[in-house]
Amino acid sequence: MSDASDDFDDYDQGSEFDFEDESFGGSDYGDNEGFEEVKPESTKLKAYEVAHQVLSTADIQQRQDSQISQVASILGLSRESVTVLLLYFKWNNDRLLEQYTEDPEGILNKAGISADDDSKKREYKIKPVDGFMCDICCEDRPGLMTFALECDHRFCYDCYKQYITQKIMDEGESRNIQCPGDSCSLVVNNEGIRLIAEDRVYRRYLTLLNRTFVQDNEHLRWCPAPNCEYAIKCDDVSTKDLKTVVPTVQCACGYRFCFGCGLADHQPCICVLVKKWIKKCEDDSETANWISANTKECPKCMATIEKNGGCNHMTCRKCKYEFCWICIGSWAEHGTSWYNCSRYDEKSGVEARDNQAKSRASLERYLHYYNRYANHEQSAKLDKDLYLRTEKKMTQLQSTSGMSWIEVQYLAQASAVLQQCRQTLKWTYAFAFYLEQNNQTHLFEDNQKDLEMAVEQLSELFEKPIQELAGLKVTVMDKTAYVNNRRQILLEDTAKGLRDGRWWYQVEIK
Amino acid sequence: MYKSQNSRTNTAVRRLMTEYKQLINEAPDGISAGPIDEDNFFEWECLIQGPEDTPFEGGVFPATLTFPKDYPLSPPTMKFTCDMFHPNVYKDGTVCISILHAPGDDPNMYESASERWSPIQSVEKILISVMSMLAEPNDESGANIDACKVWRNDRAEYNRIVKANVRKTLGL
Amino acid sequence: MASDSTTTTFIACIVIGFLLIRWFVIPSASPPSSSSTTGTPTSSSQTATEVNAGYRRRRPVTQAMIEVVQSIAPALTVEQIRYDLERTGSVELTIDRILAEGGLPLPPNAQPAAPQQPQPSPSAAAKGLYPDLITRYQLQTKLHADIDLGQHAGIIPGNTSTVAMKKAKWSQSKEERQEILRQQRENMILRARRKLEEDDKKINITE
Repeated sequence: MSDASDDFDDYDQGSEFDFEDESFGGSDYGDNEGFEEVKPESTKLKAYEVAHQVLSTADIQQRQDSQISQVASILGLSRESVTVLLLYFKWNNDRLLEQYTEDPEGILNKAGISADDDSKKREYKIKPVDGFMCDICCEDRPGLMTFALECDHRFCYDCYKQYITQKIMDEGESRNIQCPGDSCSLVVNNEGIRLIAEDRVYRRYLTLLNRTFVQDNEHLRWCPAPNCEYAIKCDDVSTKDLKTVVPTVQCACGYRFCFGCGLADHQPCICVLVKKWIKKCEDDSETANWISANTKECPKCMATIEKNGGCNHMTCRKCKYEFCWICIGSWAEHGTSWYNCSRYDEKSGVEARDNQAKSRASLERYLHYYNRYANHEQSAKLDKDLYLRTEKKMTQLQSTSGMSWIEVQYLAQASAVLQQCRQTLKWTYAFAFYLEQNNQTHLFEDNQKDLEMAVEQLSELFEKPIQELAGLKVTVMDKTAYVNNRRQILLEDTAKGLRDGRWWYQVEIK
Repeated sequence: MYKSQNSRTNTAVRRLMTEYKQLINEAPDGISAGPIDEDNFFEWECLIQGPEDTPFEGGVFPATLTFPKDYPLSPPTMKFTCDMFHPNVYKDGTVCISILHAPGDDPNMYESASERWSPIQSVEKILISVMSMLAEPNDESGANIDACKVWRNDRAEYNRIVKANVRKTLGL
Repeated sequence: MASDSTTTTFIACIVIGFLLIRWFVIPSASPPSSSSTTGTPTSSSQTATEVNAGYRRRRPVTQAMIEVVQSIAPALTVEQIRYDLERTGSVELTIDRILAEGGLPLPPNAQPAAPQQPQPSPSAAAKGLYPDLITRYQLQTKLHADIDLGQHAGIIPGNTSTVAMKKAKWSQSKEERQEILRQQRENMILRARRKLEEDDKKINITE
């Protein structure tokens, strides 16, 4: 990790970016040769793991260059034009090549490239032109420096620079900086930008290009951790697979996240259910559920009423209507003789009761899962505290027991495993909430129970006083290994279940 | 910094002067525009004729154009100074039209960059665009929700309100 | 005892002060033509206001009062507002009247040169936020005057007058430029207004 980050600190995008560099020209895109892999792929992957690699900014730059070179050699166009084309096709080689062979001129036109593509003939120059007046600033003094693309929409150098600076710095545009000429769609390419823009603007432009390269490529994703500059490459997962895989990746910075949706590690729950669950938790719909479970509406004025005593003879405070809490019928129909409602066969009463019962059951079910989910989330939020305390404990252990730093690392490891397991457990509850009840689900719940028990035991060990803890090293290590094992079993089984389509959901998965 | 700001302002004034001259010499049909007071070239007053075959036909609508100091890099803002009932005109008269949006700032995200402001656009083009906006409101980027609703659901009522405004603005 | 004398002095001061103010204010506010108020044709409600107010003389009217009224009814001229405020002496009463009658009568001495000039529609004017273009550019007098645009617009409304406008050329003089612009603007407004009036006449005839 530290090695890698040193590399990037030294790396300067602006100075090293060079289109004339041919060293990558020959290498095929997708070939890993020559790229430094920060995290070596493990040889044998578990069912819940996906192959991925971490790319540094330099790696991304190289990939970009080699892709440009490759396409340029196939199409016989200049690198600048190919860059514009690739940006237009969002770095999708296949689509570009297919459409280009069908209609080269049309595609060039659409992408904003002059059909007359010859970098030798095309000479971008900043020069004065006789009798020129800039259409932007209306300046016409002699000797005014001007610039124009192939379209010959000529403007003065200052206005052009101003325009491009605004596009890049203020609007963050890199893909589609068009000629400022009226309804001219010609794109100012890399060469033009380099010629006109100031150095800092040009460097910003290159950074933006890098960004679009990652954003447009479905096999690349920036690590979402704050200030992390790595991108993850994951080839085996496409959007349509996300119903059956939870592609969890780990960045060189240590952050674990889902490649599919970019959210923090949510194994074993699939992305679509994660989204549903988060939305459900955020929605006020559950408050509404509580209201419908605990209150009724006055059948006359619809004011919401919560029953606060045992008597079923209700009188609405708002409209003074008298009704029976049990059957929601008018109290007058009950007569004066009996106080217990016996009108169970009455249709509206039955319906009302059904609705109430259903609503209550669904609420209780939700709360069951939510409480457990929230509990683990809460514990996960305390992880930072826990970790700090662990560190403190470790220093204490070192001084009281005379153990070396290496020897107390088992606590740090136990803490990390604990955090990870809580994260997993949290999402098992969201997942279980959407599962149909069947034998498979019982198996899942058994695994969940085992993991939870193990986690709680380890957690308990962890909070033991420091003197005892020193003597418990073996127990802690064993427990850590066991907990980790339980987590892997659960993930392995869920992942296989996803792959084999063993899980049935209560909601529709689109 | 001061100097560059100053030259920016000079650019804007020079450009506005040129546009003013063109508008006086070759005023397009149905448009009149110029600075309210030449001491301040950044505030313009303009008149637009209602396009034919629309409820706006026969009307003349006043508006102000306020130019930023970095015009023509940034677009001016336009505000009608009469009663204007139109889906793309805010209730305070401010016009919401793609050509008046800088390409980077697009609250609605559905205008393609080519329709938006660029330094090569001009007062004349803005006013012509606004004229065609009067004829064909853009349902998607509504500025006046009431007008949107009426325009969509009750065209007769929309026409009635617009025609009433035409008369009101001309003092009838 | 001491407090008693203070109170007496205080009350005496107020009374004297009031008399002084009355003395100063009334002669200056009292117009030489105060009788003319009765000479103007008045509606019944207007008379009622006067009777309610109990005075038949002009009250002091401040610029602030006029501005308040004008902010509510921008289509009315300052003269109209001042005239009514002088009668009512109260912003509220004047506004009530504008709302009830949809406008205010013109002051007798400020009758426009052309008596047949149609007045801005009171109901529309009272409601709107903006003054109409005729009021804004003070085109009342030009509405039916036979200035050059008249012949053009009378024959073929539309393009002919644009030709007239195009005659105007850029000038080096700032004043001339402003004048050209003003002319352009006025022609456009008057042409549209006249067209609308003609359309109205046609409709009336067909009806």
